[in-house]
Amino acid sequence: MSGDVIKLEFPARAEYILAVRLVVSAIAERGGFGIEDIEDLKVASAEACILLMDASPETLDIRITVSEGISLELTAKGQRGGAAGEGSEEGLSQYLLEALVDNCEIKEEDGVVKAVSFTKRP
Amino acid sequence: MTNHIGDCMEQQRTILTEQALFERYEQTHSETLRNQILEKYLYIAEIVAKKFVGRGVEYDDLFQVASLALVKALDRFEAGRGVKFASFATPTLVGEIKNYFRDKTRMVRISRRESEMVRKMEEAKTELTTKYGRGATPEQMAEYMGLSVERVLELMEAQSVGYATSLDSFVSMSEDSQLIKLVGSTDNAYEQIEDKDFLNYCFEHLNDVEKQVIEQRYGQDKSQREVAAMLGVSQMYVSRIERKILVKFRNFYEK
Repeated sequence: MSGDVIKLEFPARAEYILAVRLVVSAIAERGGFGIEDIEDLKVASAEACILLMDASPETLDIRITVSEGISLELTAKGQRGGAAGEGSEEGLSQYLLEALVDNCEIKEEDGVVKAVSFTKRP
Repeated sequence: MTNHIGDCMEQQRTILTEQALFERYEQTHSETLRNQILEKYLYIAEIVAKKFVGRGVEYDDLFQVASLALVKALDRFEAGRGVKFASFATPTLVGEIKNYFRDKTRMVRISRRESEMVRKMEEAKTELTTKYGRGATPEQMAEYMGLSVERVLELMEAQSVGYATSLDSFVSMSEDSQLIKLVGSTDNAYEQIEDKDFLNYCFEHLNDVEKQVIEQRYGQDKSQREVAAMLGVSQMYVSRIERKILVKFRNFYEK
């Protein structure tokens, strides 16, 4: 399954984070990751979602690439209205991501997180 | 607008005082200051611990590990580097928790292949239990997994060594049944009585000088030189007496 790409689009709401975690774990399992790595990937994916949802976007686009490792690109689309959150958990999501996965990149526009990408190698 | 500036200033001040707090702790290592800082940042331990729930370790244990890691992080933190404490501490907390998973949950490590098989066996057990409505036998599991019965039993053994039983765990429902209270130990009393008996016997067969040397050297913990001065002899002489006593003891013992 080298080079496979999986694309998903979720409503940017907290109740879908569980589904994101499950999808990521199933794909990582196919990619030959061990249990601990899969758990880390699940936490990292959830944290990326939390970061992106802070500004109440409409949807989250998730692109998963499986080659030697697994790469995730999560992008926030649209605006659901309502005020932006107040940087919940004081940036801990970002620190957690950095501790759990490789090459974590967080793209911001006007102080709002728009995209998160990271890689993990088995 | 004014409000906004006020907010900014307020924020600025908290950042400054925080920085000052860390710097002062770095200089003084005062316990009060440390507690103050830790209390303020304990929420990090709480959040990070929560992220790792569901991996086979209780939240309370995770929180404890994370809290301890927070203390370690604080002791290594250098406020002057311009890094936020939360940013500095989080990787430490994550690292410690992962170490904990690796080291503590499986005190005896089994190979990756083996643990994979153990996992498959667990699955088979659940599957078969659902199918037959009662606990699966090793024979059924062996057939289901395409392994020999012996291999299944081996795996069951491998699975149980993975986890250490706590000495504080309760063996039955009664409050007083911690495992530690039921674990036996070698009773040394008999041996002690025999040793004492033997020593008394030996002692009776020593002359007065020899008794005195033993008494002073091992009863009073005096040096050979001190004992020699007391008896008005040379240190060499005391040393010779000691060797002679040892020979006597050995002879008694062999008899």
